[in-house]
Amino acid sequence: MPTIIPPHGATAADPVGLLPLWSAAPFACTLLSIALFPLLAPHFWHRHFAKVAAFWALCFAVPFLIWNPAEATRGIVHILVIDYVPFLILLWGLYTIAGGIYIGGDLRGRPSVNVAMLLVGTFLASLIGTTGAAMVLVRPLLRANAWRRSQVHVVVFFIFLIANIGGSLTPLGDPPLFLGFLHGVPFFWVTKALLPHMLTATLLVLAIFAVVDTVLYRREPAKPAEGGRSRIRIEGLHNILFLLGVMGAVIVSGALKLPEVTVLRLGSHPVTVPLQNWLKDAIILLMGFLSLRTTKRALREQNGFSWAPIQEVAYLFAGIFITIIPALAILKAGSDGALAGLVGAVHGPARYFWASGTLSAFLDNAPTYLTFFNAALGDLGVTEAMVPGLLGHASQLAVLNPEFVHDLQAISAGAVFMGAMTYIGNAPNFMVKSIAEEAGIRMPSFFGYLFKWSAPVLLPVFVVVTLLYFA
Amino acid sequence: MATNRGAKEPAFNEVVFQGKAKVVRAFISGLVLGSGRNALVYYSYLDGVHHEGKAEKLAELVGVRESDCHVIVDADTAAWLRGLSRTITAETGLVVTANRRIRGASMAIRFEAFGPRYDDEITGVLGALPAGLKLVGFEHEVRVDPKAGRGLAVYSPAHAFEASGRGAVTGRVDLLIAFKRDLARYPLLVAADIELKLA
Repeated sequence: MPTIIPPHGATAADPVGLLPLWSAAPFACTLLSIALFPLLAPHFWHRHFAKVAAFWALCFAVPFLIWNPAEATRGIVHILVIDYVPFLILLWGLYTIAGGIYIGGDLRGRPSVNVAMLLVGTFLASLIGTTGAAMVLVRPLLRANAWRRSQVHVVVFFIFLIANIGGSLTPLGDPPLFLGFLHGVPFFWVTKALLPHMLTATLLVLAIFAVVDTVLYRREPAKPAEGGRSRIRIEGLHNILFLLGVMGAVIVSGALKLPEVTVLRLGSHPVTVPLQNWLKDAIILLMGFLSLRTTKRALREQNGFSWAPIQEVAYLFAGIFITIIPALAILKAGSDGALAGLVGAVHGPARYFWASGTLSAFLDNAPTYLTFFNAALGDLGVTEAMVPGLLGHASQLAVLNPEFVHDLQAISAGAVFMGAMTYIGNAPNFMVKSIAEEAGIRMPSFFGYLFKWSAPVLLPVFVVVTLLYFA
Repeated sequence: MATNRGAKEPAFNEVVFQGKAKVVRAFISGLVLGSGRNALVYYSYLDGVHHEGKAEKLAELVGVRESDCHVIVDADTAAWLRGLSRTITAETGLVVTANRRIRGASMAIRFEAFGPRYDDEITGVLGALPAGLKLVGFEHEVRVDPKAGRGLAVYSPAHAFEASGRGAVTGRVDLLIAFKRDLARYPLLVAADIELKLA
């Protein structure tokens, strides 16, 4: 991974890091727009979200370009080339491939079937992403439970596990973790580092689900005819090969060390891209196109597949990544930046877990992760180039730093797990809610979801995770 | 539960007992069974009939107020209970604090549906109410936005079809209770507690 971040104490070399805090106001406004508009003005937001995101991006970019054209151009090109484009390509690839896998059959929503589906989906989410897993599995689960009067809890626990917690085992699972990968976190570090946390959270949440589902199942006035076996049919399985291609490309890009290409020579540092990143992106694009060419359109239609989510990510994350520039630079500047107070206040894994988690619950978890990732770097006075070494991987720049390992575990777990706390915490949450509502389920309101479901179920689970791993 | 249907329209009373709901329920059940009466009996706490406000509930919880049980009975049974009230108090300690004729009942309803199928189903239910019940003040709104139905939206979810409605169903209390029970089959149709209009 290239680094353009000056070492601690040399922040003067990156003047963006010395910008005042208000320069991050458009970033805050972008995140608040994403959080509030879908709740307060859904139809306005649906029609104009791209314009709103562009407006906030321009609010930052125009004064930034006037203030320092060279640094501003460098900063914008850097974040688009290093973060935005690879992020979009990966999400497009995973979403396209996942959309070609269709699960059909005549499953019947008994507690054992529901638990099995949630468990499979939870692990699938780490392979095809939370959005892909949600898209593939939500309709089969709704069909299986259509005969039941009590279905809300099934959808809610689906959001907890498949749309959030399940995505914590690989950088493919959830966007925050892929951003971590793009910034130097080795691919399998997440798998190893978060496995105990993920298993603990999953088993606890699944156990609660099993109890709730069994009680509600027994109260159902009529049950489906006994005797018939639940059958499952999976089509488009060849897409697994393309999925493996994507995984391979991402893993190899983390291991290869090819020459770097200078994209832009302007401002305080050149913007360079390692060739293996472009190779990875090219392979992901190829896998996606192969999936589109070789999968029957009917399978995608049965999944309700459309390009809408990718269009949304493309527009909104362009705005997020441009407006996040000052926030990240200020956090990287650590004690020299305008957020020295925040960097100094959040110390230790427990605080990182709850701070990154709380923000991830109400703002999008990808930029939140990136923010705290940079806060942790700023806190320790280290650079991105040192990340693999700090996490225990062979590096000439740094050695294993247990403090950073624990902090990053906490940030990763907080950002991924607590995205489940509200409908706005992670992208697929709203999608699952909408699909369930269109299937005739009366989903809880924003606060109903928070106070009746996520807080009572998830907060105790997260307290246990904190006590076991972050205390 | 036995029926007591004659030619004339049945009338109902709300009888309020001071005491724990479960105790009152057990007592009334035993009394009615023992007497062999054809009584119509409904318990407000079981059938979603409004019987106490939040302040009263809180007062009961903290022990400032005695708990009570509101029972809806046909007028003949209400008259019979009125005659027995002293004996009931003397024998069981339960006190009848009110016994009033119900002049009418109503129940606010509302729904939101995101598919034409569910909207049709609910408006069908409301359009074919059981005899003796009436839909009043019903406002129905349907919004179709074809651009919103682009599929799986993750950040800007909006439904291509949105229907909502609100109003109230009024009529005889026993019919309204039966209708409310039946609404459990329609989870999108939300019914508030039944409000009684007392004499």
